[in-house]
Amino acid sequence: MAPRMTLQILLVLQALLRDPGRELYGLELSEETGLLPGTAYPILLRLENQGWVTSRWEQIDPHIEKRPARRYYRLTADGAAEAGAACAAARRPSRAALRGLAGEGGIA
Amino acid sequence: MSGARRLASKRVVVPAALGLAIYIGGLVAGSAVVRLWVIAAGAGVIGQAISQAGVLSRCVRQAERDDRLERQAHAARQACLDLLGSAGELRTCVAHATEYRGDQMGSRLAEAREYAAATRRHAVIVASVAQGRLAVPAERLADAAASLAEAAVASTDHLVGSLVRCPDFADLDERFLVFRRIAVAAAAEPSVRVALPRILQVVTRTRDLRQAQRCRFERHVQATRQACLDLLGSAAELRACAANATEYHGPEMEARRANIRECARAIQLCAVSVALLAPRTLAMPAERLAAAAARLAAATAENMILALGVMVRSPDFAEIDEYSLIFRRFAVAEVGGFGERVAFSDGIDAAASIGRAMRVFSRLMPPDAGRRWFAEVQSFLFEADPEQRAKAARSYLRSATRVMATTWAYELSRRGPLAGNRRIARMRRDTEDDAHR
Repeated sequence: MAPRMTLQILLVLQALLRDPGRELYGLELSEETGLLPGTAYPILLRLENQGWVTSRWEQIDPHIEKRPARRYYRLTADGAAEAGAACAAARRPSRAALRGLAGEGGIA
Repeated sequence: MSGARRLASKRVVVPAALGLAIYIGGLVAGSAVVRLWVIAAGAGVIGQAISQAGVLSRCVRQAERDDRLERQAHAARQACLDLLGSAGELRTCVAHATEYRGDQMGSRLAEAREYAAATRRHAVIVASVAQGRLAVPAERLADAAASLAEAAVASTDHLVGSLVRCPDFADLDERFLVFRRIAVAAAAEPSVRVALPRILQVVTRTRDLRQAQRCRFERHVQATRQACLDLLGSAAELRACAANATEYHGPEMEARRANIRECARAIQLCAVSVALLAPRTLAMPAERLAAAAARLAAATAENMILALGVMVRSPDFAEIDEYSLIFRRFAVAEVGGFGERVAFSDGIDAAASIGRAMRVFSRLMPPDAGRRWFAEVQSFLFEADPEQRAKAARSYLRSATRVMATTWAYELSRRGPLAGNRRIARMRRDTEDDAHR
């Protein structure tokens, strides 16, 4: 089942769709979307539960790298297709809006 | 009862409470005999869970309240600075226009009108954002700005392209000072700065809230430090401009004078910024330094003979030097030093001590999801910009309940209804093992 498309979910999907093969970690995603991590994390979790996104821990030794491992997220193949369709649908004006415009004489 | 004690002493007590509640529900629904120890154990762990939930909800409410207070204080400070800034711009603009003669007078007057409109707009923002007592002085300052702009327009001879008489700045200056004084006094009011942390200290006992308070304090110190540096930098720049002007001889003298005025205006604004951030300790030395800078700018301008492009005598720098030194000493005493505040800003330290609330939240989630969430919080906060760290931590804290609900919903949907303990254990073993663990 597709998640309900909110603006925040669209921002996350767009960030991941920019390069579907690329993996993004939390901070990167937060910077690209402008969302706070507390907003982005539940979205990623939901997308992951629905199979749109997959994630993995970075394979590093924190003592050598001197930082904790990152959790990387990327779109799955199905997720990329569905996310692309969802983003395209979100860009289209809704029928109700078009009807409203037509009623006001905005559209012939 | 011993089973209940063992269970309650474990760190995973709350997830166990949920599991047990489901188990008890199953027993009540499916069996005629409900054993006494099951009820007692259930009551014990549910009691623990309720007390933890109280702490957590207090933490979340506290984080939201802190956020709100900080946003309000920042918005009020910014609104006051914007208002004073636009009033200062207007004053400088009209002062420049009084000495101007040429065909650009129309655009200069238009600029003055725009500044007057901006002052009015900022006064409205101050009235809506800041405390009620600032509304009236802000409105009066905007009135004075509008009067000055109108007076400048009325005094202009458009044919000649110059002002026939110099408008009176006294009203604007007076309202400016009154508003600044009231804004600084409002920033120093104990209801926001002192009393609230004390109340919170009484109400809240958790380490996380103390941590959040320290974060807020650290951000405030950083902002004050930056404002002090800006003020000292502007004062040094003004001094350098004035010193350069004394040695200059040429046609650019008017531009130099305008530049000196701009510097003096920037110093006024920086001083207000410092005073709003540290109203009790740094307001007075900052204002003295700003006043000394204004006097230096005025003396420099008076000593200039624009027609010849020279200065008749060098202004006295002793006063600005003295007040710069005094302010520097006060600023170092107030926001200088690199003690525990800086150690607290260190990434490792902050990441290592994210707080008990987050640990408790992570234990309230399904074990794997909780560990993953907590590790991700640590990872994020470690790499985040120190200034953004507290905000990010609060954001995680606010959304923790949502994450908890999502993870439990997912976990329960995977397990199926009323699964037995053995099955749960097996599924846990089957859960994807995080490399991070």
